[in-house]
Amino acid sequence: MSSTAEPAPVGALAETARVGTSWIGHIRRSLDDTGHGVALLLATIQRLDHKLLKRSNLRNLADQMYAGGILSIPIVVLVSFFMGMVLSLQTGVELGKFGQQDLIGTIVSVAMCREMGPLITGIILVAAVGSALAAELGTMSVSDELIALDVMTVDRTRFLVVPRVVAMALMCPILTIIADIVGIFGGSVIATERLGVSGPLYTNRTIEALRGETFLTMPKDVFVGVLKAFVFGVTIAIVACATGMRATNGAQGVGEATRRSVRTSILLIVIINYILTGMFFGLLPE
Amino acid sequence: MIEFKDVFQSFGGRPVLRGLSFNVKDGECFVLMGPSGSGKSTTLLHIVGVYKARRGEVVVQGVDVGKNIDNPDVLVGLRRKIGLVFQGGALVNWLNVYDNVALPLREALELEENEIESRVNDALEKVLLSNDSEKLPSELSGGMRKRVALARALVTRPPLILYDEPTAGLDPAMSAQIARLIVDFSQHGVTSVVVTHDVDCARRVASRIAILSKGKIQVEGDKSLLDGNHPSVLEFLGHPA
Ligand SMILES: Nc1ncnc2c1ncn2[C@@H]1O[C@H](COP(=O)(O)OP(=O)(O)OP(=O)(O)O)[C@@H](O)[C@H]1O
Ligand SMILES: [Mg+2]
Repeated sequence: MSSTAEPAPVGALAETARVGTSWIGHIRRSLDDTGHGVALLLATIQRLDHKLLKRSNLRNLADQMYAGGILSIPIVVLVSFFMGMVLSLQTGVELGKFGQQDLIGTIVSVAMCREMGPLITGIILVAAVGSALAAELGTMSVSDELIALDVMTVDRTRFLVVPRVVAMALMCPILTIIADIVGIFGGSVIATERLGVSGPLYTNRTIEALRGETFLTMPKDVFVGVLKAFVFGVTIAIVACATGMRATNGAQGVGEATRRSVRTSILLIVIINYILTGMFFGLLPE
Repeated sequence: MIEFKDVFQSFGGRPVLRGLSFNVKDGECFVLMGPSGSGKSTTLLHIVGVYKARRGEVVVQGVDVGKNIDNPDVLVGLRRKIGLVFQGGALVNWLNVYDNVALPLREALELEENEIESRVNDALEKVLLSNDSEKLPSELSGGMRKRVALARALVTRPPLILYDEPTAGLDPAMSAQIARLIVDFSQHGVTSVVVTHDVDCARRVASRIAILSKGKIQVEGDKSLLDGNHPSVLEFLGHPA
């Protein structure tokens, strides 16, 4: 007797198909979120005008910069300090085999400024700020607050999205510079305490590595990282706003929107990072 | 001024409005009553063009809402003439009471700050919240939030105000005060649609009462409707038929 209570054996093929479709589902949803994000980005750019300088808007912007940026400084400092130490340790041990520890300063500083600084900051902001933004706007969406803005004919993009995007576009680069500095310092601690590199040598190597061409008064490598950070900041805020504002179905929907926002922005950040790195090596040859 | 003609609406295949028709004339205070979940809030959201009727017509101040729902200019023009008090308040939670009430004046009408100040203070006085203007929504009781929402709806001085449960969660004295306010606006020519479960409030403000149930108006009439013995009225009031 084949009763329905008996669990059906899960065929390997069926299981693979299930995993396959869920992968496709994830990718499809992320593409969907990205599409909404692009539309929202265009709407946001259209609204970057003198009204941003109104007193109430500036206050709103300052609040967002505080919540999104200033409050993240401690975690950015801690993570980048450890990443700097790890970078130094990892490369130092390898370089030591060839008697080349002198180069630690060069490698740590360039890696921090070009790659690690912006990426660490971006991922921390996705987790700490992007998720909070998505949940905040998601809660507004499920409790009629966005509809209330529409009915009052308050432009929700101007009122909610513009300050959040501008705040993240400003704060992500600032936090990245902090991460660069702290990471390089973390690297120097390991280099001098554990790998026998003298402090002045590390410092000289760092300065040498970062000297040279400058863009907008920044050393080239720092500029590359800051530009990435700017793009990451905009991406995180836009994705969070776009997914949050489309949340439906109460608390559960807010949770789902938050999860989607984190997933989509991490994906976008690593992809954009790869594209930008490729572009800079193409455009700004060593 | 407001005309519903045979309006149908459903959510996820579940019908909510099934041939809803009614009229609200200029200057009237129309009270819409009905059991929970009968579609009263949904009806108000059709008036402001949040929902588009699946079938039938909603005409507000001469504008066919359904036809113009994707026409931002017409929709904004219409919405600027309407104040809507949301059932849950729908306040912006990081703005204090003053800034919440000032929101439509600042962000939508873009008035001067001194004009905003006099209008906001005036509105807060009307709902007896002058002393709480610095508080955040999280520091208010449900009834206070409701009054802030009311102040925010009337601060733009719209000719049409829609109230979704204006007295729910208020003590009797405060309910009476809000009812007086609604009557006062009515007497100054504001057209009102009041959705409420509160029979006292209905008696105080209504120039006409309708009972919405099972997706359409079951019966309508003047205040005496509530003392009559129409089955829908008795059912709504919970009296055995
Ligand atoms: N956006 C929506 N999506 C799905 N269902 C909805 C939506 N809006 C309303 N409904 C459903 O429509 C029905 C009517 O809802 P509505 O809020 O209009 O009722 P109501 O008469 O205002 O009730 P109450 O007196 O409790 O406020 C409910 O069953 C509700 O679940
Ligand atoms: Mg309701």
